Amino acid sequence: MKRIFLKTLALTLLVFIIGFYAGILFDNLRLEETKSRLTQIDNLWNDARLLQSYIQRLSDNKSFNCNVLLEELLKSGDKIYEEGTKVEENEKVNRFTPTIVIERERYALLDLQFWLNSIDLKKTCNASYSTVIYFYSYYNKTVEQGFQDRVLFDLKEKCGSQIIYITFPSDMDISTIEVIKDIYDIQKTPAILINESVVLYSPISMRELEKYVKC
Amino acid sequence: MDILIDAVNSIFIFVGLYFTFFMLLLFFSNKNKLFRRPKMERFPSISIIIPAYNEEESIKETVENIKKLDYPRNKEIIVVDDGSTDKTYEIAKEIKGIKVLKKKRGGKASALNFGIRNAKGEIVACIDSDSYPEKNALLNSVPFFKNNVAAVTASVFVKNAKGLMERLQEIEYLMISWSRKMFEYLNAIYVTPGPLSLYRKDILLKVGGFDEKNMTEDIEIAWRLMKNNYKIKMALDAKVYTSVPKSIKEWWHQRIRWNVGGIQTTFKYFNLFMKKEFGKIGTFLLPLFTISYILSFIGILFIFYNGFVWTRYFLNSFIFGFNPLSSLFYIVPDFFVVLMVINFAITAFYIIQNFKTINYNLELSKKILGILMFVLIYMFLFPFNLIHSSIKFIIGKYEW
Repeated sequence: MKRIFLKTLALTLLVFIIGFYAGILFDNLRLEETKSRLTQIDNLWNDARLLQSYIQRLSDNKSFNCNVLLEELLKSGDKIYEEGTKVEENEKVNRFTPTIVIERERYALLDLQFWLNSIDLKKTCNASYSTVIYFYSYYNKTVEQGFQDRVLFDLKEKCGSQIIYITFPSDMDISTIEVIKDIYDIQKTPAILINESVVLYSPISMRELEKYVKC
Repeated sequence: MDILIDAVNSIFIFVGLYFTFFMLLLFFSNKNKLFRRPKMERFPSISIIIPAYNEEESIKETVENIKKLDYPRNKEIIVVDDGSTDKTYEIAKEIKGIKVLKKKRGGKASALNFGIRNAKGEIVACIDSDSYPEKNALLNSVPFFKNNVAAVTASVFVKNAKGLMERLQEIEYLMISWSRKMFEYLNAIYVTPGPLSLYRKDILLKVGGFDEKNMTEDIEIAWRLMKNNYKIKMALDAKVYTSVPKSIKEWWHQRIRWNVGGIQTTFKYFNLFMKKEFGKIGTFLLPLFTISYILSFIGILFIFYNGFVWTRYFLNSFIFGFNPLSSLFYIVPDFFVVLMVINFAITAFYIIQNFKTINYNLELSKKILGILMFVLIYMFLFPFNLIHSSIKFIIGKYEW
C-alpha cells in the first residue's frame, strides 16, 4: 500500500513540475515578446522627437498641411496605445518572470514625448481631439485602480482616434511626470487629466468622462 | 492576497491530481481481477431483510422482485414494518411466502436489528424497500464470504433516471461504485450501502448490530467491522437499482443526513487516528475524511471569496460604466491554465474508465452533457451541503 502512495506522489509531482515548467515557459515567451515590443520603443521615440521638432519649425509657416501631421500623430498614438495594452496584459499574467521596470520607464518617457507632441499639434493645427492622461500607481495596484483602468480602456475602444489616451505611472520617480503632477496639482492616484485643464479623481464613471471628452 | 489564492489553487490542483492518479494506479494494477470472485464451495442459508416505513406504494413490487432473485437455496424474506402509518403492513401480509414483522417506529437501523434478530440465515442481505437487485445479485455476492470477510457490497445504480437531478446522481452513483471497488484493494470500503449489502449474521451480532443512534448506519457499521479487523468486499457485478431524490430539496435533505452520519462516524472513531491496529480506519480513512473536510471548508471560503470578487466586479461595472464581459473570457496559457488542462484531461480519462469498466448503458450525448453538468454545477453543491450539515451537527438539530 505504501508503494502505491509513493508512486502516486512521484507521478503527481512529475505532472505538477511539468505544469510548472510549462507555465514558466509561457511566461518567458511573453516576457521575450514584451521586451521585443519595448525595444521598438526607441524607434517610436526618435520618430516622436523628430515629429515634435518638425511641428515647432513649421508652426511659423501657415501653409503646411495639418491634416497629414494629425493623421500621422493619431496613427502613432494608436500604435503606442496598442503596444502599451499588450505589454500590460503580459505583465498582469506573468507570475514567474521579473518585472521590467526599466523598459516600463522608457515606455513612460515615450508617452510623455507623445503627449507633448499632441499638445503642440493641437495648438498649431487647432485640432479637435481630446487628450486623456491617466495617472496610476505602478507599484500599488488597487482594486479601484483596476476598475478605473477598465473604464478608460472602454473609453479608448469607443472613441478610437478621437481621443489621445496616455498612461503615466506616477510612482516611478520620473522627474518630468513629477513636474506635471506638480503643475496640475495631482495629489493622488488614480487621477485623470483631461485636455490639460480638468483633473478628476477616481472613481470616475464613463458617463462623467463623456461630459469632458469629445467622442 | 494573490499569493494566498495561488497557493490555495495549487493545493487544490495538487490534491485533485493526486487523488485521480491514485485511483487510476489502483485501477490499472488490479484491472484483471475486477470481476474475479472466489469459487463457491457451499451456499450458506440466506435471509433477506427489508425495513419498510410507509412504503405502501412500492413494497409489493420490491418483495416480488426479491422473490425472483436467483439462489440455490430457499431464501427467507423478512419485511420489517417500522411502525408505518399507511397500509404497508397489510399489503406485505398479503404477499405469500414471506415473513412480515411489525414493530414500533424506531428508525431504519432499529428495524434492521429487529429483522436480524429474527432471521435464520447465516447471511443476512439488507435491502432498502425502494431498491431492486438484479436476478444474479445474490449469486455474485455470496462467494466473497471467505475467511474474515464480514460484509459484501454491491454496485448501486439509479432506477429510471429521468429528470436532471436523477441523471446527475446516475453519474455520481457510477463513480461511487467504481471507487468503492478500488477502495476494496486498500481494505478500506467505508460504507455498506442500504440498497443492497450482505453481512455474516454471527459477526454482525457479535459487533453489536447497527448503531441506532447514527444517521447513516451503513457507514458506521462498515467502520465498526473494520475496527474489529473484519474485511468488506465489493461485488462489482452484483447490481442493484434504487430510487433517488427527484428534486434538489429532497436531495439536499438526503445529503445532510449522509454528511451528518459521516461526521458522527468520524468523531466516533477519531481516537483511532493514525493507529495501525484497527484496519485502515486510522491510517487511511480518518486522514482521508479529515483532509476532505478541511479542503471542503477551504473550498467554501474560496467560492465565497470568488463570489465576492465577481459581485464587486459586476456592481462596479454598473457604477463605473464599463463593459463587464469584454475581458471575462480572456484566458492566457499560464501555470494554472496548463495544470487545469492536464487535470481536466486526466479526470476525463478517469471518468471514461469508470463508464467502460462498469459497462453501463448510457447514450454518448447524455454522457458528455451529464459529465459537464456534473463537474461544472453538481459538484459545487457538495461543500455548501457540508457546511449546512456541519451546522446541523454542531447544534444537534438533525433527524431522519
